[in-house]
Amino acid sequence: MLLQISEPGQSAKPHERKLAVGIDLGTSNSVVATVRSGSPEVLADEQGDCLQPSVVHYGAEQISVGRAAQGQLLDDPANTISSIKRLMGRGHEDIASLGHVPYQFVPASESKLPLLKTAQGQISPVQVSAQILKKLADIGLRSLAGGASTELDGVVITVPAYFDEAQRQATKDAATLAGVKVLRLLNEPTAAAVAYGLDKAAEGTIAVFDLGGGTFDISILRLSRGVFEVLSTGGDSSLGGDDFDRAIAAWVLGRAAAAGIELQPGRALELTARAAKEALAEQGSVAIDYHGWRGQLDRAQLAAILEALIARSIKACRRALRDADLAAEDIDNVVLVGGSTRTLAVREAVAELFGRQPLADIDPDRVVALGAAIQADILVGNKPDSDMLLLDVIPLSLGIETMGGLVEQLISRNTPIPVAKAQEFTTFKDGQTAMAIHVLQGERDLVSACRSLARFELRGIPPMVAGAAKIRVVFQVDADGLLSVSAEELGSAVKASIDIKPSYGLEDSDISRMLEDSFSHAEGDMQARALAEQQVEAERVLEALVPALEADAAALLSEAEQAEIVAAMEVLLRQRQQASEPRAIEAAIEQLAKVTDEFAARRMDRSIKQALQGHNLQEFEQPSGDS
Amino acid sequence: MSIDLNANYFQLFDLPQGFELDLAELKSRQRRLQLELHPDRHAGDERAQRLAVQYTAQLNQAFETLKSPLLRAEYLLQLAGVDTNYDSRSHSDPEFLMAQMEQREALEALKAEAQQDADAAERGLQQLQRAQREQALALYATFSQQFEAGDYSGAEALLARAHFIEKFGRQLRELEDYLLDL
Repeated sequence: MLLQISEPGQSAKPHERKLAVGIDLGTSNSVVATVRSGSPEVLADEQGDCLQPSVVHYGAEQISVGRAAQGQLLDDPANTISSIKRLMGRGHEDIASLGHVPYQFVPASESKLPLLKTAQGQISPVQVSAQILKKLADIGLRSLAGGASTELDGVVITVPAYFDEAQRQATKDAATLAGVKVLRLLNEPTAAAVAYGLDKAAEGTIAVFDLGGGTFDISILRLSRGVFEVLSTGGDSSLGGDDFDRAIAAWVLGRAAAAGIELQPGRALELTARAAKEALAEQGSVAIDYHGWRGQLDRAQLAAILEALIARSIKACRRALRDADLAAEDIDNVVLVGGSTRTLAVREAVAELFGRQPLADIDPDRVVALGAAIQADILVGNKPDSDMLLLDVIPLSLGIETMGGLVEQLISRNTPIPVAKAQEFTTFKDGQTAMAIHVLQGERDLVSACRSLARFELRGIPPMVAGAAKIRVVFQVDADGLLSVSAEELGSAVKASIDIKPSYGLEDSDISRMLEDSFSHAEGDMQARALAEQQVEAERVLEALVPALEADAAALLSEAEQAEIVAAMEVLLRQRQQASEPRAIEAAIEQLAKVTDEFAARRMDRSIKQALQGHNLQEFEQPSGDS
Repeated sequence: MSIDLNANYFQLFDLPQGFELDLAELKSRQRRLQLELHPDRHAGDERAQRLAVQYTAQLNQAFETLKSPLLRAEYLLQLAGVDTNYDSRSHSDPEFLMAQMEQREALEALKAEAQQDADAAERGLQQLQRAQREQALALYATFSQQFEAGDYSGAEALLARAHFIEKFGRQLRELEDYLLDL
């Protein structure tokens, strides 16, 4: 009976390979990659470029992304947006961290969130990111499906390990806006370690040294039988290759001045400095000829120029090691990420600190996207036998505001996620029916020194004398590091569940407005699109359910329960084929969900038992072998 | 054995309930359960994934509680029906309070010394850290004995001290941070 249900030709073919990509959404450049014939590869756009500049141009006529937009940086700087990653999930006060940018912002008095003024109107950082994601997803879709499919099955997007809740939420919002289905937000260092196949070793500790154009991140990971844990993260959000270029430019200015030549500092000189730096990655010495000054720069001189900057990165490494309770010699592998790690002096400093040569065989600009592609391939279900599991920790402590502007920590930094913490609150006035809760993220004791994630109000508390109401608030952080909050009055069981949006994120109405905006730009009928979406959703639900039933229905469900589920599946199958109203399919999905809830819970309980029963310590300790 | 979200943390891992705990075994069971229950194992099935988030959150909470000696001790007392809300109580052992104050003073002195001689401060810090670890170990050994002997009130009284010692450990760590920044 159940097997017949799974047979109809219309439902998805279980062995068909799913389309999944990994996206490294970078500050300066973004990369998309996928797994083909078992190995990960970066996907190029129609021009053959693998590195897409993270730049969006909002022209009066059209929006362009990537290399085309980069071309507008000089012609139309006010409408050309770069480095938007630095503003994801950020407020007006963070605009200063960008340094000088040629584009304009809507004043804080007019908008709660930072908005950019462009020829296409006011644009949020999330919208800019969504454009970049859309472009990368399109590149992925075009190279993978070649027109045979209109949608990717899933995408893994990487984020810096230190990204807080607001920044992760903003990234996920951008994906929603771009119409991309996110399988997981993955930490960049973890992705890099995966790309090197370090998950294939039985165990070890890994340091990922990521020096990009403008930011430096160090992460310490532990691997144990396919399970990656982030032990600690650190870094410097204003240290990168751009600082190297400026230091070299300053050296040139000094040398020229000593020779009696007055040079102008600025962008052109920095580009010359960069060219010299890049040349020194390949050769021992380079000639510089700049506006009348001629000189030689060799590797030893470069190392001396960069010494102070590199020392800052090494110091951050020491601190991250300390936070992980490890010494430098405990690290088994060091992975280099980011274009600036091509500089020899950087590699030497890293090798000296850790006492071993860092891994650098994979292009440091691509390694993160390649790792994300491997994880996307597994999560989407193309490698059902994989044992790899990537565990994350919460990068910054979560707390709530208490009396006197102080923060009480609820979930401390480096706690493994998902995690849930409950806290009980009470009323402090007679007849009080509402209560404000302010959620913050950060390590400091003062509200003003932490980042505000959300403020919300619990309403509908039954009026009682002060202190009598007991309100239990549960803060839950999921595997992507995103927060949701639910509250319950214990006496009266008044339940309120709130999906909070960070103070710096988007209001729900903002999201739906933007979604509408993007739909109205898109061609085609909204109704048809909604119907198609529900049909796909129905297939997805059936596809997940059928194998589960085949495997476990007999063991876990009574005949009556099986019959009920089968009936609901039949309704859904019929609606999927016949309904012209998306709502009819949705209702059938909901009904099926209702009758299978208990089944899902029983399966989960059984996996707990199976995981523990019949295994002794020796078995636990054995590597899984085929991952 | 039936396992559900209401099972206590020891039952969840199928480990004997007691203060002495095989941490390696705890960790390997945690890993085994993670491999089954993590939301990533249920990607593509949204509803199973929601359930998985709750299970994994519970699992992580259980693991963090059992891993830490202080949290494990408190949890055991709670399971034994002892109210561990000792924050409001005053601590009446003058000898212990005296020793604590001396340690605090030593810590302050190190902070001052760090300005003149960072290396000497570093050595002093290591000495204090060693002492703190030894104190903690000795205390938890006593706790274990008293708890196993069924002396819950004696065991609970020790927890107030444990809090002091752990807090001092955190302060030493902050000083270590401070020295790293010099």
